[in-house]
Amino acid sequence: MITRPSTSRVLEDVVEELSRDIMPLITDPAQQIRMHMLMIVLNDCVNASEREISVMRAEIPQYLNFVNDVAAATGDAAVAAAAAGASMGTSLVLSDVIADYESASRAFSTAMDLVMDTVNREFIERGEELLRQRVTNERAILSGSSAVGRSAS
Amino acid sequence: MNVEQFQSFLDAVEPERGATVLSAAPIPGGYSRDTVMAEVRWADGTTEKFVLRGDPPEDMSVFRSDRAAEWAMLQAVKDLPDFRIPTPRYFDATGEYMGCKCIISEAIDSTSMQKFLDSGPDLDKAREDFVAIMASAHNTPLDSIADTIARPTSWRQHIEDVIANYERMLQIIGDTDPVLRYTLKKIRMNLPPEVPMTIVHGDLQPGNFLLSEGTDPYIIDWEFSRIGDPRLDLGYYLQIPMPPHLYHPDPEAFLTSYRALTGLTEEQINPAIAKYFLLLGTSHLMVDIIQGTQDVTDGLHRGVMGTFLMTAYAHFHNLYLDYSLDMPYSEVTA
Repeated sequence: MITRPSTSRVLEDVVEELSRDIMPLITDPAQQIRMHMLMIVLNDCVNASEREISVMRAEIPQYLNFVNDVAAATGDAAVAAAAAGASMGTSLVLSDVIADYESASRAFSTAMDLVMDTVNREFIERGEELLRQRVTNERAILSGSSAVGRSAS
Repeated sequence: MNVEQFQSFLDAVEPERGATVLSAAPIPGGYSRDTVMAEVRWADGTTEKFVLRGDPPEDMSVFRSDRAAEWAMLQAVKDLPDFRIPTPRYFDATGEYMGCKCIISEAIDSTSMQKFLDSGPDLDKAREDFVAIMASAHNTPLDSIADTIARPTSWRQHIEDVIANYERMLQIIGDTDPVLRYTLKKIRMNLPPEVPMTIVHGDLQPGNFLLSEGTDPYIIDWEFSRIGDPRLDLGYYLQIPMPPHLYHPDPEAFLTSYRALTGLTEEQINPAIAKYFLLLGTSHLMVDIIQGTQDVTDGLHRGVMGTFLMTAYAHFHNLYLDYSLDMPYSEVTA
């Protein structure tokens, strides 16, 4: 593998080319807005390419631990089945990590549903903290709110 | 929606008036429909400007709405006394002439309230004006709206249909989003008190209010309008990212004015319920955004919006969790 530059650095360089040399040549306001949007997407891809696998691999065990603990504490069959159906494999291929992350997320939701329905405060607090962490991680990658292209008529 | 298409349309619908389309230029911006400003000279020498509003190609768009339903709502509200809309003039219902279903309205010589806010006005006064415009739509008696506009059979059925947007989101993405599922559960635990249903605009924000010298403001962009709970519009406005915001600096002042103008009680609308309605008032858009991201995942192209709107997804995600974490737990799930 060629590691210099990294994928994130390649994308940063593409954004620089677009903003420095291509953007000034675009005179149509509608196309300028599209280009701004594309550069925001590319900047988010810079962040994602650096971190998304590690973020998901860090979150998956936390979800699985939560689900296993809820299953053990409650004896609930649905949560136990969710726990049995989710795992983290050894593959670091992105599509494999996404599949593990999604199954762990579904299992987490099943367990969270139960502790919310029964107002189990201890598990609710733990689950809510995992949700906060999930959104914090997401915000570190995705830029969030942008008013680019919002019509001011 | 170009000069030639508009010319052929006017030749068909106004054969006696001798229209000459002088120009048709896209208006940049906006996330949903394609909009064009056109100028026409009639045979009697007068000129007129029009706004053409049509659907972008499906592979270039994310938000879905029905132009025929929008036209029906425009017809239903155009003569109401409490607020103004630019007069809807023509509708190419099939796209035969314009290349897409297209609504053609009079163009208003105006500036948007968002641009006005950018100019640094007195924001307390602007807030009162904004609330008054919002209330003018929400105070519309339902019996003044034509029966052609669908009415939910009950408030509860209407709210259930809106809440079901979360089920739709989760279904689209295979139930892989715990934040949405948590939010849905909190929504069901905290159903608000019922209020009378009225017109819901669906995108009520300063960018969709046109200020024109010597007239009352105009409300535009009715594509997401329906009959329902007016607090959906209020909640929707809470997430608008363009500054200056007219609610967040002083929610109590905003809601005191809104209650005074609409007659709703503090039990029916207060800061906590306004936050609740952010979760519901944005849900119709979030369904389309999530469908767009799933389409991209499935290898389809949805234009730049398909990927760019992941920023909105993240924005809503953050707000949904933030607001639903604040809601109390209830043993009784509605």
